[in-house]
Amino acid sequence: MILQLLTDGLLTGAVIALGAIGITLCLAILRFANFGYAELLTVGGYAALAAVLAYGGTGAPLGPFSFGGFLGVALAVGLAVTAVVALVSDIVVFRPLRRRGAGPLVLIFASFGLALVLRHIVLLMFGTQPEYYSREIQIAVLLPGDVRVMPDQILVLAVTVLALVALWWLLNRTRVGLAMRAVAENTALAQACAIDPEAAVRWTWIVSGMLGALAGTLFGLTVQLRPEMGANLLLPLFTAAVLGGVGSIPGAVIGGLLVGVAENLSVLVLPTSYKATVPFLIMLACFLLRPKGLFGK
Amino acid sequence: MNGPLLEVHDLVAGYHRDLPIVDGASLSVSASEMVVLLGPNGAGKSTLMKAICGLVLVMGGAIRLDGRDLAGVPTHAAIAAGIGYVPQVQNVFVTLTVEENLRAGGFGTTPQVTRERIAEAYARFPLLAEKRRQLGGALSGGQRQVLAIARALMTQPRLLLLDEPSAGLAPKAAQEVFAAVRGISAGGVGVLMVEQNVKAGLAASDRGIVLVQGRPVLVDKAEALARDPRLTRAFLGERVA
Repeated sequence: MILQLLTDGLLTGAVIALGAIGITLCLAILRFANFGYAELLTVGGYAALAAVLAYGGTGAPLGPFSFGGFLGVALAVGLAVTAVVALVSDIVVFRPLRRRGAGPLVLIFASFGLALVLRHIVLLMFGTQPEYYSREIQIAVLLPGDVRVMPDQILVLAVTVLALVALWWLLNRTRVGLAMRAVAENTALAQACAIDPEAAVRWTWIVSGMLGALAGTLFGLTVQLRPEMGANLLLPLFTAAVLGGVGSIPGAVIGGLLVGVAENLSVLVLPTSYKATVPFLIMLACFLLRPKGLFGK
Repeated sequence: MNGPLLEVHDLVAGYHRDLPIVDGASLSVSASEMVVLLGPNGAGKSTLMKAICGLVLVMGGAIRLDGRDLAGVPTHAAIAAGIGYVPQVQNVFVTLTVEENLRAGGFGTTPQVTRERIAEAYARFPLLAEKRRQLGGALSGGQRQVLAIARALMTQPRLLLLDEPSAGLAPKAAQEVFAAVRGISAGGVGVLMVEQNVKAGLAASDRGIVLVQGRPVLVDKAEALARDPRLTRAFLGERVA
């Protein structure tokens, strides 16, 4: 029982980790708590769904998985659409505010407003009913310790690891990544290095938007798509980012996994309906006991 | 080339539009010349440097580098135009390695050129080559100053702005930094340096400028200024000009 919950927790945690990285990048480089971020998960998940609906399904299921090869194309569409939505939201909402010298609090409230707009656009376009990329049956794989996982879930874990490797490469091996890390630490010094902070900000929106779209699609694949899915994930995402330490990517990953595991293990001691309070309790404990998070500076 | 490398004319600058900190400053720096900017606390020395490289608001006046007006251009454009700037504090990226600091410094050029210049920086400052994989935050104060200067040189600036390069350094480390800057200046780069250590700053420089309340009040050759009795009076707040 515990092993099963632990495994489920790690799988939930992988998706939370991807989104938490997006949040932590926003906090480090854009320097405000972007409460609209979680809607990018919804946008990404539904953009992929739109591609699937337009194609008429995901194609014949690949091996043990529930979906066909077209889901890869749909994911690419989701990533692109979300990156564009993130960039446009910066150009329309946040950049004009930054230019007027708006403080973090103004940006936070603006992000709340943007979140409502994005969520309701999705709601208008797709309705309130839950959606799925595929309704094919898949057979659970039995792992040692009587743990059952779905093939899709194993794929989610593998894709998450791949995404983390790609992100590491981007941040540590490319000029864009160097610019992002330089601006995150010290904007004035980055400017003195001929780095344009606005370019780093644009890349941050693109990268965090794509991470959000990936998390949203993986969530849609293993759970379901609902217009309020992003809003429901907001608290776990922020908890993971805060627990890991703001600005720390390894921290966001570990924070995400811990939040996922804690949520799932909580059913051992709490009624299932209280599962959603667990991230909130973790965040409170984190603020009281270790406000800078596990890996924060 | 005719005329000075850097010409600042009647510059008005500060952090807030209604509160100029530099108020009507004019000065010039020639190629290969090392000029030290002196003055009491709050005179606007650092703000003047930041104005030249576009980090604060410029409300009036002109900043010309080789005749090209830089007043009000964004910092990355001023750096691209040929200015190198080393801030007084937080002048290296502590979360990046020494080599990444240099790569960040070369952001305005191509990766190929950056690689060549990193090799040049290592030849000039062997210490940095030794510590290339260490984080900027792991360096001592003197080493950070060397890294900060090497980083600013990555774009091969024609004008180098140094904000208190000797701050917090032991006298020996400060002398080494000054010697390195003299070498850079001898290579054709104009240097404008803010310094709290009046004696050492003047000893290292060709010319000195004393700034009081955002305006230069004394400008002279470094040796002459070092002997000028008005120098002390300017620092004590008396009117000298």
